[in-house]
Amino acid sequence: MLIREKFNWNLLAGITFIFLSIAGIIMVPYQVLEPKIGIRSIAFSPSTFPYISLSLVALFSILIVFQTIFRKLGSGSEELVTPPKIRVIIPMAIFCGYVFIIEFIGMFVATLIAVALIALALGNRNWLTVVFLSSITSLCIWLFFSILLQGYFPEGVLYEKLT
Amino acid sequence: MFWDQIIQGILLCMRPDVIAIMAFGMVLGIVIGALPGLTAAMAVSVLLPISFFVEPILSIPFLLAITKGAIFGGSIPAILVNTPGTGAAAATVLDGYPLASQGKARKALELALYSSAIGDTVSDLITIFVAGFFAAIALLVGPPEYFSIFLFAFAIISTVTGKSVLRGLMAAAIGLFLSVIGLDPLVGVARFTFGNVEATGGISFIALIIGMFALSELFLFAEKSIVTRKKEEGLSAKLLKEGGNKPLTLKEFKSCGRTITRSAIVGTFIGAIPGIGQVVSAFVSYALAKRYSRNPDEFGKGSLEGVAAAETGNNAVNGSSLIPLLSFGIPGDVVTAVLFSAFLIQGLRPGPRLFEDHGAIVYGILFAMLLCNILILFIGYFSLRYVALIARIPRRIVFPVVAALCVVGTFALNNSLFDVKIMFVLGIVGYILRKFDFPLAPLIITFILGRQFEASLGQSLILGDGSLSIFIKHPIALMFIILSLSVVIFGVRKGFTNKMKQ
Repeated sequence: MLIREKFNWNLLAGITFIFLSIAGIIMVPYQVLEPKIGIRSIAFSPSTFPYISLSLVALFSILIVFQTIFRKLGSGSEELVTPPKIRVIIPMAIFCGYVFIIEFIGMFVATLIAVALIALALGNRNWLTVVFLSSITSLCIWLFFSILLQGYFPEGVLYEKLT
Repeated sequence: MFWDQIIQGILLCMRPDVIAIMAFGMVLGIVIGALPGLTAAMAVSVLLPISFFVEPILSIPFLLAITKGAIFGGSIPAILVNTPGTGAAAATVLDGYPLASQGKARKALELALYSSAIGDTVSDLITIFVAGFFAAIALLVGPPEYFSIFLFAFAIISTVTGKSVLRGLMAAAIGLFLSVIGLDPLVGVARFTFGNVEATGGISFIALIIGMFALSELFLFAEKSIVTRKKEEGLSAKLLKEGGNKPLTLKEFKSCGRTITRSAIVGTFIGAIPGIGQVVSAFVSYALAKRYSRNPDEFGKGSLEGVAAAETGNNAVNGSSLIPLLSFGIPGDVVTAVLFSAFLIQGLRPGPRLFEDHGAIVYGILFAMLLCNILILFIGYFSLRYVALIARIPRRIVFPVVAALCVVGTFALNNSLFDVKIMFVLGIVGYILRKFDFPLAPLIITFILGRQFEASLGQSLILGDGSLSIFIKHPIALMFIILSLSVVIFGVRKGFTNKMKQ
């Protein structure tokens, strides 16, 4: 019962970060290649700072876990955080698709589709609003960034193949 | 020299294109700030890419105008619909909404506008005359002092932002780790790139800022149930129809004079300390106004003094928050972190050399801030009625547009789809961190300053032949290190004691 009461999202966050920081510390020798020749101080090499930052993450995570375990129960302050909800997955998935599809169909077509889908995912049920919103957004972005500010935006592999 | 730079600066900021872009930025800022849930930090993050395409004297005042507009805009829904448009307007709700409920909405809105402009002006004037002086002092310090000043700024920012000191410190440590990704600043060795060539440039700060602030906000919004959101929107529409139309009288304004003056000084002082920011300033000013008021019982029930204190306090932070940024190159909050990025994009590195190398532009920017305060009086006054309607726009309409701006804005800096992908990943990370109640400001600031922090530590150790005793030999460095450790130990200890007492 006690363990159940003590387990909460704070504890989960602390434990997750302990594991992540330890994994990071283990990876340092493989992800930071020390220079063979250099005038570097012995006390400070390219891997020093990654070690320091990851050790700090680990230390503060341990303190969070410690703080959570040794708090007094029944005060109503157990849950500092609310757990993530599953419905956030849909807009995340749409946004992920948006990011990865740009190189194939181009920035503006991707934006047109993504804005419409995100609008639907956020609860817009009026089709006219959705179509209007996505068309206006893409058009304004194209006019403002591409025409007025002369920025470059990918047109997409498909467009390049067709032309 | 000083006066030459000031005169050149005044001439630069009087250019019609500067005034036009500031007016445009201000309108955008007010509109975004008026939308509940969209913060000033988010406004400048999303609109930062527009500044890539113009020269520094246009881009920085544009972003400053957005910030000032958004902070004032945040007071509109705070007064009309009991929902602060930005965190900075949280204290405005306390008396703004009761005033609107009594049919004095216009009085409250006008007072918020005038107090904002006055608070901003006092703060900007002090900044103009003080920033150069601090920059001259900053020129005298070396790597050990710089390292210790960075450490002190990180300690303050981590311990005062957010609800938990430990979470703030951990966010700062995560930011430091993210800053090591890419090439090492001293030797140029690739770190944590996982063999990806594009990652050798490190994480783009635009990707980090947009992902962590704007995209994570979208995910947090998406998480709310449709029923909850419609309830909120329905409430906004109903309450907007209420509210009186009587303007503020000169007598009423004069009665708030002392409160406005006090709050402007308090806000300016708080703004100059990294990490404290608008919310604290607004509440401290509000508390002091209540304490010294002749009618303290009216506070919370619809006091004009309450609105004046909160609005002057939160806006007086705007100018002085640039003092640590321009003098030492240390952004004190998220908005100044975005401005720091904007300076870098324009080839200007905030810090003591900025005044020497680009004095005219810096003073041009500072005077443009003063001009912004005049603009906000006109734009704010004439747009009040229309902007009030913007608070009715449902966020489910706004956020799809924000999503598109996140992608376009991140891509625009380096024309890199890799940055866009990183932004998406950081958006999810930002969402998770916010769900776990981690403050993002320490993370972003340590990320932005991480490389300089590391370089100053490395340079100090090289100077000291690898010995940490170099920090003991430099008394200023030693003082700041002791202060930093005291701040952290005191903060963590207090956090633990409070938690145990709970």
